[in-house]
Amino acid sequence: MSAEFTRAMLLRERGRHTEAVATVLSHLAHQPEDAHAFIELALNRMELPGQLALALADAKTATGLMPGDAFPLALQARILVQLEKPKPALALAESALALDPESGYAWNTKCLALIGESNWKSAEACARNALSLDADDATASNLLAHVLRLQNRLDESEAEANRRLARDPENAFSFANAGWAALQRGDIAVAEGHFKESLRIDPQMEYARDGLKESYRARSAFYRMFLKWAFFMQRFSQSNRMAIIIGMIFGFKILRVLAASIHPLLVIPIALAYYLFLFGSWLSGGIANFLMLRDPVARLALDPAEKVEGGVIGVLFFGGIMALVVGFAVEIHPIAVIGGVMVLATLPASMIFTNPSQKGRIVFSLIGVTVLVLGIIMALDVAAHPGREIVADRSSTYFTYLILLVASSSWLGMLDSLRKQDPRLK
Amino acid sequence: MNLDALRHALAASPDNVPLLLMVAKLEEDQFAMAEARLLLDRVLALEPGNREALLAIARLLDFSGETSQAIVRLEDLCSRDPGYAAAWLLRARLTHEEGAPARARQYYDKAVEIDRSQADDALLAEILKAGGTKRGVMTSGGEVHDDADDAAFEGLDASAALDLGIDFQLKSDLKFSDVGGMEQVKEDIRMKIIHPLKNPQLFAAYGKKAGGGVLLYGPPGCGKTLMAQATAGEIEATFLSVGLHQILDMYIGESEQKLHKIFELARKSKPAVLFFDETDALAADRRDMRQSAGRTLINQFLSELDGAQAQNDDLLILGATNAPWQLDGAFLRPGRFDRIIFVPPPDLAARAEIAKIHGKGKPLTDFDPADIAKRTEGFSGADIKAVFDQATEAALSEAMKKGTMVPVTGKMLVKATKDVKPSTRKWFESAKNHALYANQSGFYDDILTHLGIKK
Repeated sequence: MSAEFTRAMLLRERGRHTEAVATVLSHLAHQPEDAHAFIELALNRMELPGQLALALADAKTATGLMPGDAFPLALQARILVQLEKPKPALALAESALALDPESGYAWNTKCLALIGESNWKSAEACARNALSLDADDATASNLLAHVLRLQNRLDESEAEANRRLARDPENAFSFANAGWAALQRGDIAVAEGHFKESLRIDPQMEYARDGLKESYRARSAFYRMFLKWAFFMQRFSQSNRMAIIIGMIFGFKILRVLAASIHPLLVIPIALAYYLFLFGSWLSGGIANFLMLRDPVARLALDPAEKVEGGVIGVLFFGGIMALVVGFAVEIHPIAVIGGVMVLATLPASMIFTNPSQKGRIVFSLIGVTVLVLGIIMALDVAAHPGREIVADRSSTYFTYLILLVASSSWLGMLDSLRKQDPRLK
Repeated sequence: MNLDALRHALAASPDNVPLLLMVAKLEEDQFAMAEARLLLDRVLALEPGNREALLAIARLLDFSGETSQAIVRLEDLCSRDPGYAAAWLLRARLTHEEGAPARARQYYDKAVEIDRSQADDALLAEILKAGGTKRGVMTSGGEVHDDADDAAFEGLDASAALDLGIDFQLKSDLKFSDVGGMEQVKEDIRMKIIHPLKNPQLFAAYGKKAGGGVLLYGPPGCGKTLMAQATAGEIEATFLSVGLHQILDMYIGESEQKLHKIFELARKSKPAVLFFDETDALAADRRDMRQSAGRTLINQFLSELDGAQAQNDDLLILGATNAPWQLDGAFLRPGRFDRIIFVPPPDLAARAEIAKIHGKGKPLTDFDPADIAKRTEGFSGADIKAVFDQATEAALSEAMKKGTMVPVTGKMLVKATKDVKPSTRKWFESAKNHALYANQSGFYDDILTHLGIKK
């Protein structure tokens, strides 16, 4: 092993990945067929933003240079998991296991690929396999706790996290797992404590930071309701989730018809529950962020974008409701129109500030601005025709466009390309 | 680079020294020696002592076979400007060509002592092959001693430092007055470092020793190393600097012994400042260490800091890091790096000073350093350099298109300040997490204050 290669490994151990890549490349200039150097290169590039594709190419080269070895194959699979391609990742992890069924790294990688496919049962089996090979495998133990929680087996998940913490009380991931289990159980204060402990050990851990934010948000009853729904849904596979949503939409419609047949006023709570269900998941984050802004400690956990989102959604939603109520109460209808439009604009606005897709940010910003502009024009039209019904003549056209725009933003919001960052850029 | 376009630019701006030097180098690369010489003579007519022109003329003379004359000119240049590493290196090369490897080795060592980036392994190998095996030893006065009797002469420390591969300066020439702005940091250093070292009796009366360890931390490219050098200059101490690569090599070679030798050398040179750049690489958290060799080296570092085997009085150990969170907690205990100084991105005055430095030697119009400073809030020194590089590239590409000299305008600089994003932002994102969640001992309070989270 050359001094440069050793130096590169030391640099990686110290988290200096850019310098490590330069050093490995220099080593490769002298030994261009060193498979281990390509593995080292891939391991470093995996940690650098936007270099996953390069890391994958390096892992492929390493596989070509040592085709009988399981590790480069498992490494390729691990990178594919990060690229959100669980299917090919699973195939490669299985090939790696065919070469070396005792590779803990390959079992853990297969577990990750199965988590990516929402196949919790098989993922659990993989983590248990890795643990049977090495009972002290921290990654396998943490994955097992994670996958148990995803199946709502909270006691078992907490027991696994505690078992890990008894072996290694400074394991940030285990604390975060315990925090998520507590949050899922509804023990907000306990969850907060675990997440803080996890972040004390590793302040950069995204998994724990997200958990802490969620536990702060869960202080509001509205958001707790949304969290319960999210935790309930995560137990199911992607297709089952879609079936549940479609079933609920039909269920609501049947309920509404039934309620109307009993008493027309019964429709109101059903309709409210329906719209809460329909739009709650879009708005809950922004509203919870707005509520967090009022807490001097909790707001420090928010990113700048989340703070802006909280401010904008809070003003649009609560300001809109106030204007709507006041407008109708004092019978100044243009104010009520503005209020209603502000509430409607929260939907596209909830997909602007924290949306990792740049394309999505542009699309939803355009929709949001158009909704507000149309709303102002409609309010002016209503003001110019006092005594007329609010939704009549030109206002009726504006109203139709408004509803279409808001509805379209909820449809567009389901497109991954407008809501997710390209994993290659991660 | 298009030589014709540059010749046109030169015709439009015949007194532009940087441009003259650039064209002369390109002419030299094309073996147009006479043209190059003419241009260099013009530089000397404008700036009689221009060292780059003098060096280039020596090089041209050597190319023309007049090596002896070149050596004479280089002798003159080295005595006039003893800190010019490139001149020492060329002198080493020509002296070696003239068949005097021992002297060539002395000149080579001098060049590398001044500027490690001048190291040329191929030349050194040739000199060694020719018999230049004895290491030359330099003092800060620039004199060259023969290495006949290692044990006796005064420059032994420099020789030992070279053997250990660390940078060594008998006295750091840099002072606080040479570093623009950063008054808060300077004041911190005065209170925590300079006063204790200058008034040891006062501290002894309170049962405290001068010296010890101080850690400078902050975003990369913000002047931690410069501050360390200036601190050594202020206390008029020998300055020994250990960089990342020397540290990494310790993990590979006979590490503990080498580290001990470095400390011993510093103790022998007291009062001295022993500076560890990228301290996190040497003082890494032992929990992250997979190799036991790394753990032993870290234990050795701790023991050296404690002065377990020798006294560390009058020895100041300065560490600089941009990842203080990667340090093993043991290093922050009393007696080790127990004083911590946050070096934030350069303030307004410092940024104006940095802008002036980068503006030097460039054809600038409407240049207002204060305005650039105002527009570069949160920029590191390296970011400000990037602003100038980007503006210069814009001027050059315009010059290429027009075929005439285009100066770097204030407008180009302003545009570049908008294009270059401050690199410190990412560092502060990480630092904020550490300051919020892992600040039980108040280690990162300065970051919270800087971010306006804590008053």
